[in-house]
Amino acid sequence: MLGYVRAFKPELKLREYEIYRGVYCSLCKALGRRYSPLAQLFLSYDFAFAALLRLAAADGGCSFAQSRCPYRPAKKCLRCEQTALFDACADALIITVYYKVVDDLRDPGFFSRLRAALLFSLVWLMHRKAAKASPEAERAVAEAMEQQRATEQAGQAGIDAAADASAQALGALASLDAPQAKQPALRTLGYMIGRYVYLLDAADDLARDRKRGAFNPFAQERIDTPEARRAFAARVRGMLNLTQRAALDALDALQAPRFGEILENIVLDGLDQSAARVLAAYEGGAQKTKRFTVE
Amino acid sequence: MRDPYDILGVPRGATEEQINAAYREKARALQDSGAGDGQLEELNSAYDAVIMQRASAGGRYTYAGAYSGNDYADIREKIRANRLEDAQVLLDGIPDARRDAEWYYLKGTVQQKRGWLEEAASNFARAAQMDPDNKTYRAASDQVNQTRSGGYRTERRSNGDSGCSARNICSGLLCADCCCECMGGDLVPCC
Repeated sequence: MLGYVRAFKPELKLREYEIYRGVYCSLCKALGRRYSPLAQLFLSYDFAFAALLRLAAADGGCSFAQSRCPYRPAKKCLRCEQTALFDACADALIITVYYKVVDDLRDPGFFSRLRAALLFSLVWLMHRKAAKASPEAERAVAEAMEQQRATEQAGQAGIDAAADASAQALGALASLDAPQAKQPALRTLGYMIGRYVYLLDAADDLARDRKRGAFNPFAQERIDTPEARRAFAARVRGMLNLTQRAALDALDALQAPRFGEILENIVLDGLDQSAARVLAAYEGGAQKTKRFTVE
Repeated sequence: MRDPYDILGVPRGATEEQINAAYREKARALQDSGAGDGQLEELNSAYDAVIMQRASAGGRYTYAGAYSGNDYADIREKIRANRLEDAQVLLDGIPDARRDAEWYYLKGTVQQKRGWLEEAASNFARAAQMDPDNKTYRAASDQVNQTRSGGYRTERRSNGDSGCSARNICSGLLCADCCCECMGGDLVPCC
């Protein structure tokens, strides 16, 4: 995943920010413990969201202990004590990274293939362990990749069909091991987040994909004049809004017993920020400084 | 599972019309006798199995409600029970020529539930365009347009701001001042 799903800090309370950081640190720790310190290189805030979502929906409470980070010993951080849950998240992360690397190996560009080949040698062994530990996650992601490849080979697919595979995979990952009653909402929420990220990433990579002749669901869109670019950005924003609204509805249906505010911050403000960052390139006048308004 | 033809009570060589009639009759009888959901479920899946078997064998089929104009009760029922795949198969079985506004609306509903939001949006728009007087279609289409322009955002953000906003503090002070003045005192001397 690509760093689009993250909290928007100015709107977080200190307490929420501490917990969010704590979840991130706990996932990092789980990666180091279960795989190797090299696995920590793959850590991203997207998976901190995935872990937070699992924590929020899990039965029973959630406890934290203060500890220190070996990379930044001066700074204390919270560490979550529900280690089994973080191990499962770490597995899902490794599986996702592995399939992303496998996908990059088929890339048309030489350098990205070279990079993927290096990463592949790094992640291959880790993936074997992860696939054995979480067969369901492995199946979900593998199926999604298969479906994605079939869609891409079929040529020009509709937006919905193109986004379906990765959205399905995220839906499956989000609802794995969750309490039965929460599963439908988690699946929908995961689906919508996956769809959002897919659409945003496709818009982000449009120019690059076009140059290299790679598949992109927006390939038919015109972005040659400033007006066309602005119109394209508006259309993408409309699609993203529809998806975000569905994600928010799923979040309401989830009725998370804890961390609801942080999740809402990520799904509403966090995604908005990512969309603004990507679409600024099409709307003209790229934002160099981050802006934040208080009404 | 029992043989679906046995459940429907028709011979294997039965025509499409006989199957549809048998299904309708049995379903009505079960509903009238107040039988449990289990039996109805069994009947539904038997009907689906037969229909799908025939569809995959290459023949076209028409779903049970289609003879009395398009009556979409089955499909609605399947959507309600979240059997989206089945609803989709039944909808797709209706030939292009008979697809009316309701068909597009139901197709949009199924797609919206599956997360195929763009196709759902265009189907809702089409339904509203084909039958401009129908309030349900219009509402579905309008809601999509409103969501596209981000209308849900302000509402959501303002909901989160209850508590100590400047407006709340001011109105609280005014209220307290009025109460004090009623009793002969004064909390805020300037008003």
